[in-house]
Amino acid sequence: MVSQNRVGRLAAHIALLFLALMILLPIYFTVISALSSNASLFGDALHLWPNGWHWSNFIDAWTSQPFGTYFFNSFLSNGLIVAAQIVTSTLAAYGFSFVGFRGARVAFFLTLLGMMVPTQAIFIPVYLMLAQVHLINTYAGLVLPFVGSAFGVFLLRQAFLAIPKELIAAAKVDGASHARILWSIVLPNAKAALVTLALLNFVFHYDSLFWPLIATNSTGMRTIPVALSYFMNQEAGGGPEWNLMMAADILAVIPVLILFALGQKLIVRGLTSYGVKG
Amino acid sequence: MTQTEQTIVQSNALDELRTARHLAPGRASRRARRMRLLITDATGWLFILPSLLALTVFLFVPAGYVFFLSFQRWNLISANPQYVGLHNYLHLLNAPDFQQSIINTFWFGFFMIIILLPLGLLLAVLLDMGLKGTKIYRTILFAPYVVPLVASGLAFSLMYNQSFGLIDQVLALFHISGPDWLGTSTLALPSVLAMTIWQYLGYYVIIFLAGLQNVAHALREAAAVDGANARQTFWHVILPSITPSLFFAFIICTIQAFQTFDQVYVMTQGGPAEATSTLVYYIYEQGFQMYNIGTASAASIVLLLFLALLTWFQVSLGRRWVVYD
Amino acid sequence: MKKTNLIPAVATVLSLTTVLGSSVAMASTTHHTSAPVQISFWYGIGGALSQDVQMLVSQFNKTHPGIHVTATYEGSYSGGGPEQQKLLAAIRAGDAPDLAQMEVHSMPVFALAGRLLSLTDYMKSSPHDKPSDFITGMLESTEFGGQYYGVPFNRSVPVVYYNETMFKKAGIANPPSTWQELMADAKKLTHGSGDSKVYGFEPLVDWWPFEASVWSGGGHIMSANRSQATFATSAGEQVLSMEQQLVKQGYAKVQTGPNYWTDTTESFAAGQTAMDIDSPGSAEEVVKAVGNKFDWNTAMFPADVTRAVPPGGADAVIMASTPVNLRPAAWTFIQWWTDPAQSARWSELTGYVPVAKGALNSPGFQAFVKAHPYMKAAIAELKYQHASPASAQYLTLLQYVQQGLQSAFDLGKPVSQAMQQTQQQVNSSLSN
Repeated sequence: MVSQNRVGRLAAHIALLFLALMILLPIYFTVISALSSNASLFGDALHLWPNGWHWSNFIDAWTSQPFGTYFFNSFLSNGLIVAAQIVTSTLAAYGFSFVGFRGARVAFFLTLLGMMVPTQAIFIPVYLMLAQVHLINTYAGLVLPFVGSAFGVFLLRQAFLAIPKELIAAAKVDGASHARILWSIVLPNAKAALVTLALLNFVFHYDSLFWPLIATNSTGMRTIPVALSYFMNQEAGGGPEWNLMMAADILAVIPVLILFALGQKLIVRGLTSYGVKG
Repeated sequence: MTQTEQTIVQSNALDELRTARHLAPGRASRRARRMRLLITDATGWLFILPSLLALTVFLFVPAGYVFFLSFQRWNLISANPQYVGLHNYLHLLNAPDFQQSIINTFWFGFFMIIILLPLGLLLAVLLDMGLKGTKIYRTILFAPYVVPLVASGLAFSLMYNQSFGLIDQVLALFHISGPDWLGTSTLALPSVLAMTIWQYLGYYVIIFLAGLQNVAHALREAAAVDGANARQTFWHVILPSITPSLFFAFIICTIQAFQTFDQVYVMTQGGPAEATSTLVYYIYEQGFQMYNIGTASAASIVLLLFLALLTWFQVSLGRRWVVYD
Repeated sequence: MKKTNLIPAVATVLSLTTVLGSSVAMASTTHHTSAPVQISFWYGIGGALSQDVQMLVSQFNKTHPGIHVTATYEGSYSGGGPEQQKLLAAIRAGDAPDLAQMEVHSMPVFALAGRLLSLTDYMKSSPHDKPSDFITGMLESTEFGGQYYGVPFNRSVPVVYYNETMFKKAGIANPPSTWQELMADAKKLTHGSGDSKVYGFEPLVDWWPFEASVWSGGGHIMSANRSQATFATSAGEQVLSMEQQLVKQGYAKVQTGPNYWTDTTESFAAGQTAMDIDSPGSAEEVVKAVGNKFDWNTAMFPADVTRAVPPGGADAVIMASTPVNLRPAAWTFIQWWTDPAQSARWSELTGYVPVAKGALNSPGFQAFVKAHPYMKAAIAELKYQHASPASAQYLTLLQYVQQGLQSAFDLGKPVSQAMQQTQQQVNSSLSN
């Protein structure tokens, strides 16, 4: 076996180390740049160490736009999205998994199609619809388009199917209602999958730029990615302040990195373990 | 079987739906039975209603409206859309920038697949060897996946800068005058690709790792006992058993390629000379920079057709290609 | 552009108080009948300029207790940028702001669709915004069908920046005033090789100077009835071809990357190019970057067959959807901003060109020009402004032109071929 081969192990270590360094390099460079003065970034020479420690860059970046508001908006709107998705996906996944009803195949196929449709292909009508009911530039406008998650339905359905069927069947024979089966058998057995879904989709929506860019137009409603994208806008006479941009970048990434650090085990376990079919 | 990828290898999922019906218990009179079936149907639909409603209102109805708009001429603020028949589609047929964006999208997807899949698999195999520090490697590899594309796009924009970016400064150490990575047509798309690979690699490693960890170690040990060497074990035991993972990764990769937008928006705005314009970026550009809603809608329909084709491919071929159990 | 550190800091604090203030003001409307009129104002200049805007706005709010303007940055206004997208979408949503800063080339899209309020009557009765108060040529781009829809707000025209020190060394007495002279000068100014090579010239690969180049050569961007693009003629391509020739012969360099504009400005400031095309709005940045390294100045955009330049920057507009009772307040704000006192101050802050004769003649500004001679060329050039075609699809045309320019200057496609192809694309899109 490979694992017993010493040379093989060494080669593996070298390969992994090399790739890990390649992954870390941009992050390192971003941190260096965030700590440098903007002028020193324009120097020709390569510097592997910041020119002075300009911690104030982080404060300047933070105050260059109202980042406190943006974080609040990002967390609130994406928290609501994930909460709604958990509810709709759980119900749908339960229906698909444990209620053998006619039309399920068609409904499932539709859900499957839904996973393929990118926001970018349909944003104009969605915008027009929400504009009609005056929900543009509101939290509802940020949240509503995403309350259904086709991916969530798939993921949870798969997790639900891993629950021993005998458990469900026995409860049914005992006359347990669907609500009871869902609440006391299915959900406790699918915790890992639920958390995985919540984490993955929170990160996905926290990261996404396109819809918030279009659906918000006041400072009070903007989210983090929109604020970041404004650093790149160029007009004559305004060279980008790269150091502040990188500092803002780091500030924006910290929350998801923390979530990721806390939830990595669950994400990986969730991705690897819930799919065992009975 | 099975693991992660089955969440989305739906061919199987669709089959399973049939068996779910057998869960309905009981033996009763035909009438009572029919009644019960009706109740079951109603219950089932009620459960999926919230999800289906949300998807219908915010995906299918808009998709239908996009289809309608694809036959109109409109700039959003002119009074009303004006019917122009197939004009928008004919325009796309002759539009070099549209064709360029299709070519770019396929190019991007092709290279994402041939780089991410083998590299991801290789790293997963290495991580599956039980080496010391595996957890740390895995964490580092996966971390970029959670970074917003906007954020990494900005960071890479700085690295790619010709006069003071990291890459050209390193090249300068070897007295090589580095190119303008994002400002040269031939280099811009590969540069965006490199950044995308940096971002997504860890995700594919995790997918393959999940696949590998479900290949029973007993199976591998059996192969070892039979005298198979590492290479033979990989080709004959490991690879066949993770085809579901490979297929899943292939589909996800294609979807990601077809939806590429954020990094292009932040790094290159589709330029220079449309070198980095993807299909989705083209839609955005037509719709929101040129205000040609009709053309943008027609391009959206083309995108949806590609994706529908992909879904069909996934459902129908997935079953044939993928080895389960 | 960066000012001293104090100004952005002050502006940040002020803008924060503005946000707080506005919510307080809104809350108070329910209690007091005399609460200030709320005016929303969208603008599209970011970074330090955005802080200048916020600073002036809060100053306005302080001096006008009856009116409260809330200014919001909506992303860049340049070339069909986010601000225009926001406006368009907001109009559709019935959610448009009262006031907006509108990029001069985006005017037709909105004006021709009837989405802007005609300001003619307001202007005629204004003490300092009468059409005759403006420098000749200034209103060219704001007039549609005999009505004025915008008041010049932050304006510029493309100019040539040149390195006086290098000119002296090369024995050239004056900056070029025609393209032929520029060609000859660029050749003389180019020297060195490898990393230390200095290029004689750097054209800005952008649709803005493209407009100037087509008109200067005697070409027309669109047909008289604006149904067709007509720039791909030998007259329209003449100047571009000269620029490309310089590039191909190694006398000029070009930037086509995502930060092409900043990069162009920076290579001039770093002494890597002896001349470039840029906006007067970049002057502040050049001043800072050059320091005492060399002497430099600006000259008018060179003439070819004729001299003609496009306006750049933006105008202030009032949206047609602004309620009648808010219009006077919105106008008061524009009036205040374009008042000679603020106008001159605004130019000093931002490097944009003053738009009213009053500001130009104010003693403060005269002193400023004396201290900053590089403002002179732009001011002298204002009278050569030429309005862009008033087509609702002009932004589409410009987007395609930008792609065409990149394919000529990055891919090296012959200008005639690149422009011919661009024109076909534009016309196919126009007829669509």
